[in-house]
Amino acid sequence: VLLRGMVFDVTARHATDSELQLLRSQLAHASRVSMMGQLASALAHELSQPLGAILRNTEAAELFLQHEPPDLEELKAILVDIRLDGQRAGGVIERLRALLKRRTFTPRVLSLRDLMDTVAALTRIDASIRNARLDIQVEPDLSAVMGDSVHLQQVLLNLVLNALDAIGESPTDTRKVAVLARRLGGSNVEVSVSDSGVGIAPDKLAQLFEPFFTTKPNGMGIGLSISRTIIEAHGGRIWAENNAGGGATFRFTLPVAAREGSA
Amino acid sequence: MSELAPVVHVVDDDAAFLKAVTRLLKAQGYTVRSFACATEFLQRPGSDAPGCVVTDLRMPGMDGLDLQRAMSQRPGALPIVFLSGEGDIPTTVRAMRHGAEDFLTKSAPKEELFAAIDRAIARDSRQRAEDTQRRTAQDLVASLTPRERFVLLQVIAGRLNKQIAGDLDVSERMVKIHRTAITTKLQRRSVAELALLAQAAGLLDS
Repeated sequence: VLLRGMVFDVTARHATDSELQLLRSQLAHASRVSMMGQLASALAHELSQPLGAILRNTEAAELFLQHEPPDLEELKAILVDIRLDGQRAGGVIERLRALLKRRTFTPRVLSLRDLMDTVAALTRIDASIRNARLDIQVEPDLSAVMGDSVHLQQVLLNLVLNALDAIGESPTDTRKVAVLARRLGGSNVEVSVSDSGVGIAPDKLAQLFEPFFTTKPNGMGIGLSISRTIIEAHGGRIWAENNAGGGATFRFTLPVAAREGSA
Repeated sequence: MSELAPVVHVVDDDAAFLKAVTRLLKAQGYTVRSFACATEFLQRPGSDAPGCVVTDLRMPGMDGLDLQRAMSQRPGALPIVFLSGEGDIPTTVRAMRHGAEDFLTKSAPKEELFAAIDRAIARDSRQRAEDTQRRTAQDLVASLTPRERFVLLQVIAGRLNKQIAGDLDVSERMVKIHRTAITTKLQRRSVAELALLAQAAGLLDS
């Protein structure tokens, strides 16, 4: 495949930008981090009440069963309470799901170049903190895709931040994350995010996109599973592979927008 | 006082959790009082029974740390076992530094909860026994005249009747009369017993 790409070094490109933009990026970064933290903390508290009550009630029931004769009325009351708390815990999860769903899915024709620019701006700080080079290539005249820009931005952001995390241990001069968007055969576009990190243990590759699976010490294991949900909702695929020369590459595909696909 | 059964005071704003913990502790044989908030607990009628408090850390209005602060300003504060949904380290450290007996997560196994409660009750009983001892000792010592108190301290310090008589410029016989009054009032016969009582009363602190 002959690829006439465009390379622009994000760090260099933005070096002359105003401090205002730097501040904006920092704010965006801080709000991303704190939102996840708040969500996790609120969820932990909301769930700990009913789960704690279920545990205490179960332990109490076990003690009542040892009494001779067991107090059946009390045991019945305990079972009623356990059911109510089970429903309450389910309700917490349901509310969280509704909260995450609140942003409606609004697909429209969008340019991957614009999407890349936004993500580049949002991750610039993260890249410079790690002394990493972030290369973004978008194939010239790449077809537009049909999708929800905020959702796709979230996926791309997640992949780039993961890649930046993955190269944290590498020697400074080899810290590189490359993002490439290109047309595939047929009516699909592929976006890949490659890092120069240590790669992924082969037995973990299949589990990466499972909810709550994480390889990070403080990770929640949510990012990639949400990313998969989003990409599949767009009619695409997402997967990960190890690079021959080290590091890992995450790829996802998206169908090109209908009018361009048929052209 | 020691014949009063220890009471576990449970404070939690979550009605279901409060009910479940109360039920578990009662099934295990504890005497339990439940409170839906810290204010309700602080307004309870006073009691001399030993015990402890098992409280949620995170509550609307007055939270667990506020309760700890409010209790520390009153005499006879009960030891506190904190229960928390999520153990965040700064809060834990703060609570422990202010004398929390224990810090458990809400889903800690019941054995850990019982062990923490038993430790807290034991600490409170010990504290109460010491308080009672001190009060009794102070009451006894308060019945001494200033002169008798002086003689008591001299006796404990190991000084002879003759030396004490010299200090006070009285006869040795007078010192003996003081000593008899002291042992009668304090109900202690040996110098060692007198020394222990004086220490319990805080007479030797300064």
